[in-house]
Amino acid sequence: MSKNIEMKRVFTVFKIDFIKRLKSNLIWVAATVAMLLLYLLLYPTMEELILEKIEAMPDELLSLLGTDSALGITDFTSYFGMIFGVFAIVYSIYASILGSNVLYEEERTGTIEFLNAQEISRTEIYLGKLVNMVLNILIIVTFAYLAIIISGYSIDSTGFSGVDIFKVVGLNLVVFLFFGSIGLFSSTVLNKKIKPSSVTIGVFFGTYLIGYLGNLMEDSFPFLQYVSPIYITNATTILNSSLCGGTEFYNPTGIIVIAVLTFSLLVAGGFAYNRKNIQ
Amino acid sequence: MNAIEIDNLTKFYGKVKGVENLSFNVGENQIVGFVGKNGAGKSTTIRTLLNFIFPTSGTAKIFGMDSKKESKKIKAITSYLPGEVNYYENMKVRDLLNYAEAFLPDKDKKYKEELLEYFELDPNRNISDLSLGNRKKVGIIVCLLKKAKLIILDEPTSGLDPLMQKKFFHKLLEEKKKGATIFLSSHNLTDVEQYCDRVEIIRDGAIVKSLSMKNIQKERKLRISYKEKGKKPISYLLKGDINTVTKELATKELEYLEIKYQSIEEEFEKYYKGEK
Repeated sequence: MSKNIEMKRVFTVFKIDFIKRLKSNLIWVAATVAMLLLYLLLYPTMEELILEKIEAMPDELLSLLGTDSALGITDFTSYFGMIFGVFAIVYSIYASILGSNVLYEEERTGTIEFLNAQEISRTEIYLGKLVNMVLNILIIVTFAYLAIIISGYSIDSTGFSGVDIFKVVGLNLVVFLFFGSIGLFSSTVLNKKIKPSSVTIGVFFGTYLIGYLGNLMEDSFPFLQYVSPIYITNATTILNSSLCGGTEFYNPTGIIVIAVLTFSLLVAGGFAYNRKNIQ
Repeated sequence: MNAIEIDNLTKFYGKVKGVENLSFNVGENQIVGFVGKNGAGKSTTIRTLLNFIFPTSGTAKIFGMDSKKESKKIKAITSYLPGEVNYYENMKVRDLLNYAEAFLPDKDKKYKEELLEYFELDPNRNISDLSLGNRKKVGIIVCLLKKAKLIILDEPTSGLDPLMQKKFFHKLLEEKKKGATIFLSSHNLTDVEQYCDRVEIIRDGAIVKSLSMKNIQKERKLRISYKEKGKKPISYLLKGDINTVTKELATKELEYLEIKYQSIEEEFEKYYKGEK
């Protein structure tokens, strides 16, 4: 990668790309925050109904939702744990699409010819796009966190812990960045004819389903669970762990591996982009 | 120093050949045409020079700088107009020009406004609403804003009306006077004939002829076309003395007579078709 990185140029690429995506990103933020608030604020009115429904659900389906039994959902925080399991999937898909598209869109529409002809190195273009991806993921997660905090304290002011929620959301943020980095990396190595988002979403669902299989076959193949990053940062598991004052030991190995992989993918993406034939 | 030096450049896209063992130089402060059929390797050469693609072997240099190793330095002194102008759809012309300007070390707002006025372009229009010709004008302005030492143009006049084409070339001649080198790929051989100092003809990924326009003009032959009453039209390239021919023609009863220099297009076509 180039040694002479000028931050002004990185910022210029970031700024234009950020503005260009602002509208669609705001829609994602507004839609997901609205849905999250709706789910969480309805907890008091739905509490009994949820318990009834959940009692009727098979254990396998409950585990897919991120909880082991209806007994676990006795307060708002546990309910949040279950709901956030679903939203973690949504945010992972968002991060996958965002990471896949930040560079790919320029190639697909041909605007990369304009950008690449300016006095800017490929590393600076890559960094501008990377910063945009990271910031947009941070924004959507921050709004999600604020929505959870607002609904949490307004519903369960005594038992709710914003710090525990911060830990859950923070660890999940690493996973979202991981999927974003797979998307960005894919766009630096794949030919323009192959959409990197299809590859990244494929990786997401592939690992998710393998993780679920591992959950179902916990006795025979427990290691399969760790193939899925979503499983590693399951909200209910974190809330019940020693990390949030629970009884079960929290093993940080999984999240450390994901963080290292994310960093490696981002660095490798930078090198790959410097060697890519832009057609 | 040469503005462009291409030495044994080879580029394969998998098994498909882009260019093979291509070598030619472009001297400083010239307008050089780069002509050839579709798929001859013009865009591959330009894209390699600008480091959009990497050569399979050989080198491409701009002012002595290697396209692979010194791409950023090259971009600082080179501007490029792509054949297909694609810009951000939701942007206004002014926003795009500001974006391009943000990468330049020095901004010249006055020059930008002059170019907008010269090319009769409304900066407040949305790029998605522009016609192909107007998009091309945006590309030309982006290209000229840089005040580059080397201007590379891929099919610069496609989409422009004849008046605008003339204005565009007038601007290029101004840039040449200021010291710029212009390397343009074109299918419009009349433009090449009128404005270029030299021309490089490429066929099947290799240079088949490098011509100086002055030499071509000197060496051009006269084409004599005439029709006698009741006979078939006759057209041929003059080989002998013009005076002898005109004396001979004066004895005939002609319906029409045309004596003109052979067009350069005619000359180029031979190389295009592989007759030479």
